[in-house]
Amino acid sequence: MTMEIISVSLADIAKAAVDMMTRGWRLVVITCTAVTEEYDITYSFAKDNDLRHYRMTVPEGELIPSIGAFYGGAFVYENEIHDLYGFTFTGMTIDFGGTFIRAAVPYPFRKKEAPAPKITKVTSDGGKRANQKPADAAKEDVL
Amino acid sequence: MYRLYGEMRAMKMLKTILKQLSNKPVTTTFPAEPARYFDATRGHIVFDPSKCTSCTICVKRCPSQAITVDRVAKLWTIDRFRCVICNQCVELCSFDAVSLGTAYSASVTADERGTETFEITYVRPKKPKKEHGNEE
Amino acid sequence: MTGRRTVIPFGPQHPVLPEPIHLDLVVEDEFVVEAIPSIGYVHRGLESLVDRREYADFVYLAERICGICSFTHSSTFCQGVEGLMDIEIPARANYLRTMWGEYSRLHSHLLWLGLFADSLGFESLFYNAWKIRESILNEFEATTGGRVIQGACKVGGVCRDVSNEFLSGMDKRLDDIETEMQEMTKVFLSDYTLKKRLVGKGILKPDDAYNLGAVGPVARGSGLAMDVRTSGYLAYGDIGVKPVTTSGCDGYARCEVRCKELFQSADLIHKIIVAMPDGDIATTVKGNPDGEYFSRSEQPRGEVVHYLRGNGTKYLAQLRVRTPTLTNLPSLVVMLAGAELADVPQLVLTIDPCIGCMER
Repeated sequence: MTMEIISVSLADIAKAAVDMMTRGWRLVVITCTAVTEEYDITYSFAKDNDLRHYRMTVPEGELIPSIGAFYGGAFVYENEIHDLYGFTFTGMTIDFGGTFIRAAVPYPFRKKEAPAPKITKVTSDGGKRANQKPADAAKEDVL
Repeated sequence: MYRLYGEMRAMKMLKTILKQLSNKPVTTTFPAEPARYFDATRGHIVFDPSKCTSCTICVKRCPSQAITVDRVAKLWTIDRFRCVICNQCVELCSFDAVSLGTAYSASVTADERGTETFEITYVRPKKPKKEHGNEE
Repeated sequence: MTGRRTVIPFGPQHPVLPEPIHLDLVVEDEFVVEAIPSIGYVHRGLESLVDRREYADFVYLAERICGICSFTHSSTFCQGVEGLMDIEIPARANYLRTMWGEYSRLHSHLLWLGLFADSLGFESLFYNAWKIRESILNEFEATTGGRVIQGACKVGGVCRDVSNEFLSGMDKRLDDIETEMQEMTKVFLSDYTLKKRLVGKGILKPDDAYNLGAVGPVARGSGLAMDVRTSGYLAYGDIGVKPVTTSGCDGYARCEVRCKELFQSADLIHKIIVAMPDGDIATTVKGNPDGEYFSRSEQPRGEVVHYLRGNGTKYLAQLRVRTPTLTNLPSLVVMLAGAELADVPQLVLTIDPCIGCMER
C-alpha cells in the first residue's frame, strides 16, 4: 500500500482528474482539512492496492471546479464539503444546494475564531442538556 | 410437471415441519427464565467505595463523561444512561475500585435519570516513616 | 412526454428502511426514470469530536460510527493511530483482530440477508437468518463482552485475550453454523420467488461500478475483483484472501456474493484459529501521534477509509471517515434508473445501506 501526496494547483485539479481517469484510477475520497490559515483539499485515487493523493491548499470560501464530469461519484463528497466547510463547487453533476447534510449550524466544520472547548463540563446531576427547558432543569437541580 | 414440483416442495416442507416440531425453541421466555450471561459480558460497572482514592482518572478518560467525583463531599456518581460500559475506567483504575458485573443494569424511567451515587469510604493508610511522601 | 412524469417521494420512513434515507423517484408510468437521493437525517458530527477526546478514548467513539461494522471501525482507527506512531502490534493481537473482523462480516451479512428476506415478505427466512446470527453474537459476547459493540480494540493491540481451548471450541461450533448457513443460502440462491424478484433487476455494469466508485459486494457483484483484504493488512497477508466475484451485475449477483462470502469468512476463521500465534496481546503505547495517515480496511459493506491527522498532542487534529455506503450511493442512483417502482425497495437494500455510518 503506497501513499504518495502530490501538490496540485486549483486550476490543474480537473486536468489531474482526467489524467487519473484515463489511466484507470478510481476516486476513493475527497477530504477537506483545516490547516493553520487555509484548507487542504485532498483527492485520493486508488488503483488495485495503491493510493495516490492530489492536494491543493485553498483559502476559505474559494470556488473549486467540480470533477463530477469525469467521476460520477464525486458529487457526494463535493456536496458534503460544501455543506460542512462552505466551499462552492462549480459544475457539480447533482447540486443539492446545501441540503445534502442539513446541519443546525451553517458550515459546522469550518474553522472558528475561538478554539473548541476541550472537555464539555458535566454537572453533578448527570449531564444537563443545553436545550432543556428551564422547568426541567429546575427539577433536576432538586434531584 | 407442476404437480410433481408441488409434491417435491411438500416433501421438503414436511421435513422442516417435523424438525420444528421436535426441536426446542431457540428463544427463551425472559422474565420467567433468567437471562443468560457469559463470564466476559460487559453488563454494568461495579464500584467499590472502600478502594477509591478519588484520583479522578475515570472522570478524565470516560469517553461518554458518565462519571463525576466530588472530592470534598467524597461522592462518586455514575450516570447509567450515559455509561456505555466500554471498560475504559476498569482498565485505567490502578486501585481496582471499578470492576465489571455481568448482568445488565435494570431499566429505569427518564425521571429517575439512572444516576447512582456512592459515598467513598476509603481511608488513606498512614505512612509513619515518610513525611513528605504525598501521593495522589 | 414530460407531462406523464410524476415525482414520488420514497422514505425517509419506509417499511424496508431501518434507517432514514430519502429518494425522489421521477416516475414515468411504472418505471423510474431518475432517482435523486438526499441524506442528512442522522448527521451527528462525530468526526468533529476528535479534537476533544484523547486518541486512546476516541477508539470507543469510532466504534460507534456504525452499529454493525463496529469492530472494523475501531480496528481501522487503531490501525491509523498505530500507523501514525509507528507501532508494531503483537502477532496475536493482529490475528485476534482479523478473527473478530471476519466474525463481524458473518454477522453483518446474516443481518443483511435476514432484512432482505423480510423486505421481500419472506418472514420465516428472516427468522432463520437471524437465528444463525444469534450464535455468532454469542461468540462475540463470550470473547469480547459485547454483542454488537465489541469494545475489544485499543491502540497497541486488543483488550481481551481468548484462551486456546475456547478458540478450538469456536472452531467446532463454526462447523455447525456452516451447516445451518448452507441450508439457508440454498433458499436464497434457488428459491423461485426470490429469483423472480432479483434476476435482471438493478443492473450495474462493471464500467459504471468502477467509475462511480462502487466498493464491496456491490462492486464484486459486477465482476470487479476489488477487496482491500488482498492488500494484506492485519493478518490477511499471511492467511491469503481471494475476492468472491460474480458476473451477474444484478440484484441476484449481489445477494450471491454475500452468500458466498459467508463461507469465505468461515473458511478464513478456521485458518486463523489454526494459525493463531501465542504471545502478548498488546504493547505499551508512549507518545502522541503526529503526521497524517490513510487507513483502509474491508468492511462487510466494502472499503472504509479513515484519514487521520495528528499534531503532536494527545488530541488528533482531524479524522475523516469515508464509509462504503457513501461511495455506493451514486451506484444506487444508476441502478434505480429504469427499474420498476415495485422493485425500488429491495434494490435500495441490495447496496446494504447503512445511513448512520454514511453520515457519521
